[in-house]
Amino acid sequence: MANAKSTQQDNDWFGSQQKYWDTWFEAQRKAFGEQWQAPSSAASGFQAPWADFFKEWQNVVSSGQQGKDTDAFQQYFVKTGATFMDMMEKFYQATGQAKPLDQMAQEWVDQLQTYYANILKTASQPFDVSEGHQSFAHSMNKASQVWASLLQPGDGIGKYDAKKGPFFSFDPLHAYTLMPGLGYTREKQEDLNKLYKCWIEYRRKASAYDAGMATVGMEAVKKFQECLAKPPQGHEPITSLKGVYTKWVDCCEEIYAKYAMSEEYTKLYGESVNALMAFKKQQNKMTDDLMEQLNMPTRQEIDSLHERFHTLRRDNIQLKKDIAELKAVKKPKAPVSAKKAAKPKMKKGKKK
Amino acid sequence: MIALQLTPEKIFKEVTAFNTKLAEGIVALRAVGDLPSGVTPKEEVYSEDKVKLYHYKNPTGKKPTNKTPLLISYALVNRPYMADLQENRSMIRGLLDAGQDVYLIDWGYPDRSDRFLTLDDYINGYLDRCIDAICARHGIDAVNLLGICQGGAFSLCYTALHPEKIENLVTMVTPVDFQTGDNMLAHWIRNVDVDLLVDTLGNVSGDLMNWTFLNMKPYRMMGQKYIDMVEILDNPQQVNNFMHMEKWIFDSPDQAGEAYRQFINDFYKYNKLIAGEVEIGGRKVNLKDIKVPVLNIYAQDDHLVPPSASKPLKKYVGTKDYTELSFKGGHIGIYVSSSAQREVPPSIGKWLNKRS
Repeated sequence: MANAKSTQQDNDWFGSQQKYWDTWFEAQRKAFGEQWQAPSSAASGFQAPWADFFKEWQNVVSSGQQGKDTDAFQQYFVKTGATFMDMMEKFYQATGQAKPLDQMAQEWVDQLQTYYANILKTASQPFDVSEGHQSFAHSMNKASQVWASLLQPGDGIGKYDAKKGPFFSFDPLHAYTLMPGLGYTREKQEDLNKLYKCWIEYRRKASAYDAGMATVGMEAVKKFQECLAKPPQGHEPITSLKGVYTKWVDCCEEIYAKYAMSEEYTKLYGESVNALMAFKKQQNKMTDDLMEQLNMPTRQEIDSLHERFHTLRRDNIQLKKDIAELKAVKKPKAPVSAKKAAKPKMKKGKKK
Repeated sequence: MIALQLTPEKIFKEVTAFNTKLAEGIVALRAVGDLPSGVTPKEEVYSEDKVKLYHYKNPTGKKPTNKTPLLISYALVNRPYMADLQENRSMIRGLLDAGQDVYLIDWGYPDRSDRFLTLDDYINGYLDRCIDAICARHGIDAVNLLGICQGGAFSLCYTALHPEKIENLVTMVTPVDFQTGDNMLAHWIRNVDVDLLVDTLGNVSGDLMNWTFLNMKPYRMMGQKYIDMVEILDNPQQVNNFMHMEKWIFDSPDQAGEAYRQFINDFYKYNKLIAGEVEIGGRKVNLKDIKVPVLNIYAQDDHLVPPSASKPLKKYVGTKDYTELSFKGGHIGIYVSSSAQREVPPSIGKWLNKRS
């Protein structure tokens, strides 16, 4: 199945690449047909195909990681290829503007710094629950509007803005979910409350993880700047853009490797994974509840069957072994005629 | 910015060269075609559920000189054709050339019906029955066993529990002490609630496993690697090699939930193997019960199973015939690099031939 999926993705990828190369060859023809010193217009023609190429390529590479939950990871790592493209574009464009080399490098570094700083800023702020899980948030928003309309002024959550949706810091659903379920649908209410709480908790943990990783990015930029400004003794000068990029990756890996082995990272990593699993587990439960209402088999039921099947199978294998041992013990002692008479009727099993 | 020596001309040339290689590379990439899952001729001699036991034949027609067959037990993570990737990058071919009669267990691709397979099912079940099948074919009582990575940990458990069925044991890049200071995976898993994870996911997907491995060196493996790829795009042979590896890396089976739970908890999280506290099928695994000759091979630059995790085996096994082989390379290079082809299979063959 994995292979089929991969083939399909490859086909899509090659299809999109065909289109892109048509455009690319045209752009290249134009670029070389004109003066190469006109980079500001030619550069965009140059840069766009690279970026497309790697975006497509990396979409294929990271196709198993679709969805909002993995975006936080992707923005640091899968984008590193695009970083090279950005860098090339920056330097290439500058070749036509007679900018000093250190200014070009500084501009690229500033761009990276701004990028990581923005992530850090975003991750440190209260998040909008309507981001990401749109449909989930939409239904929650609707419920929260009803709930908010029932609340009286002065109850501590009066800053709720229905247009913008509930922010984590002023989340009326938080108050709602603290209320125990009542009546005929009590258990369903509890399930919904739990799902919401799990989701909020996951978003909180994921934000903390993002903030940690943005710090890694910032430190890597700092390390990179140091490497360029004060290269260690015996250091070979960097004579290519690829060399600049390799140095950048080296700095990132060095900082990341240290951070990834720290207590802080282990804690953030564990908490993010656990919070996500708690949310998905509750999601599984509610999906099973729905399937049951639709008179469909649930995951839990199928798992139970599989578990019983494996237990029976182990018992069966053990019984076969026991019987074989008993037969082996009995065989030499029994006389030929008696042995035949005593032989139990066994079903001949094909060895799988 | 004194470290930079770039000129507009250099930049322009580099950008142009990069684009040219990219353009040519598309042709090379399209020419790769289907990638095989192993190249050496083989015959399926036993199967059970999704597990298959293969017997390899030397394409040169050379017969094995070692009368004791060698069974390779690969990890559940990734696919075993890493040991037989291409004609000139095949550990299996090297072992055949070194006179071994090679068998290999392919654990298959577990699906959700396999979620409740345990380590007992894998080790005392599938592995044991594969060994029985080989013994029956050859009319012998014991085989040589070569365990790779997690398959090495399985082989250690099996040999400790069934010493009468193993003549010699070879472990390759096998973790033994899971809590050394440089073990990133063990470090990460410390605060993860593995029970919650398995209860939620059932099987643990190959994609998730890959994601974890990629995150060990994320900037290199998810970014730089593909920039570097452009360098080789004008060389069809290197592109072919690259794509073989790429296929193998991402051709990852899901992990049966219960086996994963026990392996991660008992081995990685609580380091029970060296404490003699791993329990398989109701019996404790005591590495001191391994009295057969042991060859332990590790890779010096292994970031997945650092040497510090493999080397402690020496002090935990009960054998008096213990040999170590240190390979200069990484976790993957030990199977596929040209130096590995020259060094590793011939050394294993020589060591086994002396003892079988």
